[in-house]
Amino acid sequence: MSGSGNAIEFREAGFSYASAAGAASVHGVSFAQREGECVAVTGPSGCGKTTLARMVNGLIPAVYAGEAEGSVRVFGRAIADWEMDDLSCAVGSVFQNPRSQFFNLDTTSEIAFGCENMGIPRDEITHRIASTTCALGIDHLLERDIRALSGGEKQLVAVASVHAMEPSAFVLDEPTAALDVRAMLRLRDVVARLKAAGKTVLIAEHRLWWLRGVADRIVLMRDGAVAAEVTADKFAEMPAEERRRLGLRAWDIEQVEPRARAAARENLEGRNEGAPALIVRGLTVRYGRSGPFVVNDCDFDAAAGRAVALVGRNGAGKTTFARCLAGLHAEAAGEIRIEGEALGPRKRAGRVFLGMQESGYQLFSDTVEGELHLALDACRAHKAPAAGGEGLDDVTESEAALIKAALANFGLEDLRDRHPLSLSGGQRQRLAIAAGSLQGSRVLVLDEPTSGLDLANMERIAAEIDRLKAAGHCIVIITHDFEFACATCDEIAHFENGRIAERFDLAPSTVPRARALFGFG
Amino acid sequence: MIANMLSMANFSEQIFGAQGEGMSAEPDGRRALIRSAMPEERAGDEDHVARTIATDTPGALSLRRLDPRVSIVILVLINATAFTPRLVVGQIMMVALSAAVAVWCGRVSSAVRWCVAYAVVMAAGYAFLLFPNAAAASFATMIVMVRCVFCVGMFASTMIATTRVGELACALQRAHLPRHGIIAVCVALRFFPTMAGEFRAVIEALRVRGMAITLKSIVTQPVRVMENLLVPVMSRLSIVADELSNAAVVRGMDSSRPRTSYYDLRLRAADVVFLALFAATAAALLLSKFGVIV
Repeated sequence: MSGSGNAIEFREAGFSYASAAGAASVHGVSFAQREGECVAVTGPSGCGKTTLARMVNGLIPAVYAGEAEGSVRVFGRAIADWEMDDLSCAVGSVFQNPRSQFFNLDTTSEIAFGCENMGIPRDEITHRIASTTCALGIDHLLERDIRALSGGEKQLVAVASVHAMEPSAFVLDEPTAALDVRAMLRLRDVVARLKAAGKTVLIAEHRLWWLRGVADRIVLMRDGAVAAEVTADKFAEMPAEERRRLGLRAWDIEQVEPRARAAARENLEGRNEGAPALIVRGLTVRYGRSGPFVVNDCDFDAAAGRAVALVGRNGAGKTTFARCLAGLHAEAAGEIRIEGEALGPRKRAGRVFLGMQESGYQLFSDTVEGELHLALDACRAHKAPAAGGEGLDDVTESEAALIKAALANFGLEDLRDRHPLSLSGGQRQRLAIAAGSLQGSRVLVLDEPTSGLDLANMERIAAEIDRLKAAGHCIVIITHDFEFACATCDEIAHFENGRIAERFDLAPSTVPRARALFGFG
Repeated sequence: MIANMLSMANFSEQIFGAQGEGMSAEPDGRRALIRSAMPEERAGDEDHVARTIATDTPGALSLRRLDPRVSIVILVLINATAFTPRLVVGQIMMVALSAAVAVWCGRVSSAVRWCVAYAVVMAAGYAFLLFPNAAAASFATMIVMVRCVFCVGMFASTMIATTRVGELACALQRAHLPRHGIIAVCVALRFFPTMAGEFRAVIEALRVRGMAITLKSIVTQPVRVMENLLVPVMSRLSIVADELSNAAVVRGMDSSRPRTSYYDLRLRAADVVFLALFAATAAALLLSKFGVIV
């Protein structure tokens, strides 16, 4: 590993997976990354970013079988000539999901784990843990129970556990999919520290703004091939339209503005004034009988036909609030009224739809169409448990029409016979929301619906939410995704200290405040 | 200097000075252990910042814990003496010792809860004796059984909550278990809490979808309930397993190099004291079982 030269080099490289499932194949990729350089690989979902990352860290061919072409060289040596152990020590990998890359239950053991496997002597491991935590500035994360850490902290531990193996290059595969803005800024700081220490960093990523200032070059991929390769400065000059045409997320968050929806809002104004679909009064939620109050005397209204973005720090209690709305957590005090009717937690379950971050949990049928049938069954069950019998043909006919309409609206027609779990993340999220709307829930609470989604999928979900608003649904969205909030939310509600601290319409004049609440600047 | 900052084991190395590598559980090692320092005595030492900060943050690990080898031996002792009900005092002693271990590890509320539960079981046992009939007798037998295995559960809960996976791996390495066996134990310990979490998430998702699992649905549509529960959990777990195995490959889990350990297990005074107390109680119980003591 000499001082200069290429750390990572693709020469007409390509790979197609032997099994159809999994990531997209890539072809004819050629680019070189110098030592100490930070390169971001980006592009729409299915463009082959992840495959590229796997070709560098050796998971291809160690884990994934398939057809390889061309050559990939890491520190001047072809991947095939590397022993896996040596490659793992030279190229450190951090993955997307912080939950599924840990082997220990405490942070110190986890950071030591890779070194232990590599047979590094104990004194050296001790030394490396010290220098790693010092280099990344994460002393406070030592000696903790991993399960009690936030997603952002987990991702920092993941970086640290790789750093302790002292690789010269890092490959980060969508490291921010589950992180909020503050955690992303923290990760940016860590990447900057790695760069300052002369490490080579390759990042496959959708969300781009956090790479501003650390990425030296951007490699744009499309359909498994490199579409363009530009320096960060050049990329910054790219007009927003061009960037969107390429299907890329925002680079400069300052340029993200709320979409003008004045006309749409006027239409709704008269109809919904004074008729909030969701009224929360004095809501208090705690864990256990003596735990601290996570939600404390909270008042909150949400009107039908509007989308409210619920923002706030990690651990502020947003998710607990959402779970309580959906009846998954009983309130200690207070009242929740849905369409004017006060409902206890048991009654709320099923009436308030909660879109979970992992939408895979929420799908139970074996086809997309069946999933929507299940939703209608659930709707019938809670609407009229006693009624039935008369007009059965009518019901099935109108049901078929409803499902057809939903499939068309949510762009799921072509997927109707697919198994829900074989869908991509974006498609699954859309199906879950479609099911929620068919289920007869007026109020939909969505927890981070766009985590890990590219621009096209994010915009599709935004369009879907606009349609739900037009149909008179009331939407509450917990989100850290400022672009998404700008694309679809009408209001911002800041959740702090267990209650709504601040609330305002999202308009060009309030954008600076909204940006600050999201954690920028 | 930095190297000292982190490792508790390293610190004890300074104390022991000339002590040789890898002291085993042999009794001849004990003399030096009397001098072993308790962690809080080091709190003033500026080099141990990382450790002291951790104590009041959420998810901080308990600073004091038994050596995993000692824990395993104690667990075996408790198991071996579980069914020697003739000496109730001995059994109470075992429970008291387990509570003492829990308190020593900083798990006071857990210790209190277990002790209260034990008192309830005891009281219930004697209450049934007041009504000498067949039904009460069968209940009494059941309660005696619960009382016998009570201590096993109590000690195991403390052990699982406080033992570090890394330390356990180190202990198993010392016992010359094959590498794959050790890794399997580590991953299993990590996987069970994950699995519990996945089940909880799916049950909640069913409620959100208006398909909550109720007593009625279990009775009328057991197959449907099982399918709704198991299919998403299994598919999620297979995704987690895939992702974990990718992480395993790049973290050198299959490496052919001999595995080392960050932790250097050394018996400390508390280990020896607890082990001796448990061993004495176990001996008394066993002797009473074989009729040596009445």
